[in-house]
Amino acid sequence: MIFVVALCARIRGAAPEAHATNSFQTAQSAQQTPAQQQKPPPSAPQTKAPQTPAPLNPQTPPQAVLPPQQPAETLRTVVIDPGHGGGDTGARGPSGVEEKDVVMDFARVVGDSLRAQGFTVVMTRIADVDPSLDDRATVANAQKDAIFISLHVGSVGPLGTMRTYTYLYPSAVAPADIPIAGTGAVGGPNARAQVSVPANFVPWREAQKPFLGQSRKLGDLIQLELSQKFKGSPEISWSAPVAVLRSVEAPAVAVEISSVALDPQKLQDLGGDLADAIARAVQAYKSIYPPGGQ
Amino acid sequence: MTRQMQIIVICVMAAALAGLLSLRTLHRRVRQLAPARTTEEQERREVIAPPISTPTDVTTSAQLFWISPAATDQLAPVTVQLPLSADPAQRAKQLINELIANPPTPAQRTLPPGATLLDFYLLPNGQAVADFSDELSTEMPSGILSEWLAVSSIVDTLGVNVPQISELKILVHGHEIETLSGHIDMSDFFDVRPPAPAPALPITK
Repeated sequence: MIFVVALCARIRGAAPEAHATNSFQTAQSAQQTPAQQQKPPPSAPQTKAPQTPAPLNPQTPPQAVLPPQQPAETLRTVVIDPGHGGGDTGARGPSGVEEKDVVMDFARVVGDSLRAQGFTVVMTRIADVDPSLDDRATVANAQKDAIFISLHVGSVGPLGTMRTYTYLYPSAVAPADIPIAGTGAVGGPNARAQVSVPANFVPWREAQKPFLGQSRKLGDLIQLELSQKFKGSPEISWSAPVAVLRSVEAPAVAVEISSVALDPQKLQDLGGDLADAIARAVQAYKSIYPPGGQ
Repeated sequence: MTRQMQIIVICVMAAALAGLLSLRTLHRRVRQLAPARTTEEQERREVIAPPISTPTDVTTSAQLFWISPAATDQLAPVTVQLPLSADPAQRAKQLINELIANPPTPAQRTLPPGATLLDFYLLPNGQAVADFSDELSTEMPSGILSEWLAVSSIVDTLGVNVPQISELKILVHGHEIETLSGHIDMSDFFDVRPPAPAPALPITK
């Protein structure tokens, strides 16, 4: 239901100064940063416990994720979200290839390309586990001056083509228009809870709304690069209600490759060009990235 | 071996050879005689989702949206002649059942063949609720594109043919689901409006 069940801080903690070559961060570790502890609670809906493993380098001192003294105003961090994982295999091809494994490989290659460009890369998962959609958004929302890219491999579509999606919210129905039968009150399936909300809070499920314009710019840049490398791909990004993007408080896109029906080797071979296209697009986006990302 | 035995052995071998040669033809004929899979599905559907007939049914030209044969990442309208009710909720049921049961080709299918529309409700304010069986989710090919094409085929078809509907909520066995099959957010109502003129893209930008 759409009643607001949780709120997230609009003003986020500063970006963790993660190590450039070992910048994996998990939902759990993100939630425990000092920056996060300073957020007005509650900041996330009730979700299952994060299942992501500990950071790759447990020796990283806590100081490594302290917020910088001066807020950064340039794009520094790219959160990469390999879709699915664990018991959720995602799409499964006739050859037995599973989306969760392919996107993990793609995420590593894309991450390497972005690090080579000087970006800090944060992954929502680094092993075969399945963080919830909210856990993935939580990882992204713990970063400052970041963008979010979710990677997927679909079941349909022309083979070897790729599409970039931004979130599509439905037209909101005015809550006052929908009476609740027998109560004299108003509400309804689309009604938002009427609660007093501090000015610096946004509803968890509407966190992407202020970033839609920037998400489209990022999506179009990525899709333009993809269309040049993968023939048959559209030249602009599309909009669809891709669930994982909804609560991300940053420019956010999902890239889907068509499809698991490809020969596994051919599918794997797409990774290099995919990484190159995304790295070029993110570098281009950096030049138009506004302070605060909105 | 006597001459008589030799003749018998030769005859048996010839018969065996002829039998082997005819096996392929026989197999093909048996397959032709067997009922086609689509027919089985249709028979099953006639049991679990019998055709909806109302006193106000009139055979009408309706536009239904399936995957385009020319571009498999898009939807395209197909005009079909259907007996459709004057009652908008019944009309919506008839259209969704047709979407599931009779795509022009298997490659143009957007909704799982095993999915069944359990019920359909329409409120006076234009909000509608479609309640499907589990198969809508469990048999849906996973992916952003496949799931969005599925939702869009329902929404676009209702948008063109049932103007009384402005929003649609999709449930599975009466329950809200987080995603259709891992990707598309199902927690909200979907806007229902006639899609943009051809080419009918499934995604609005």
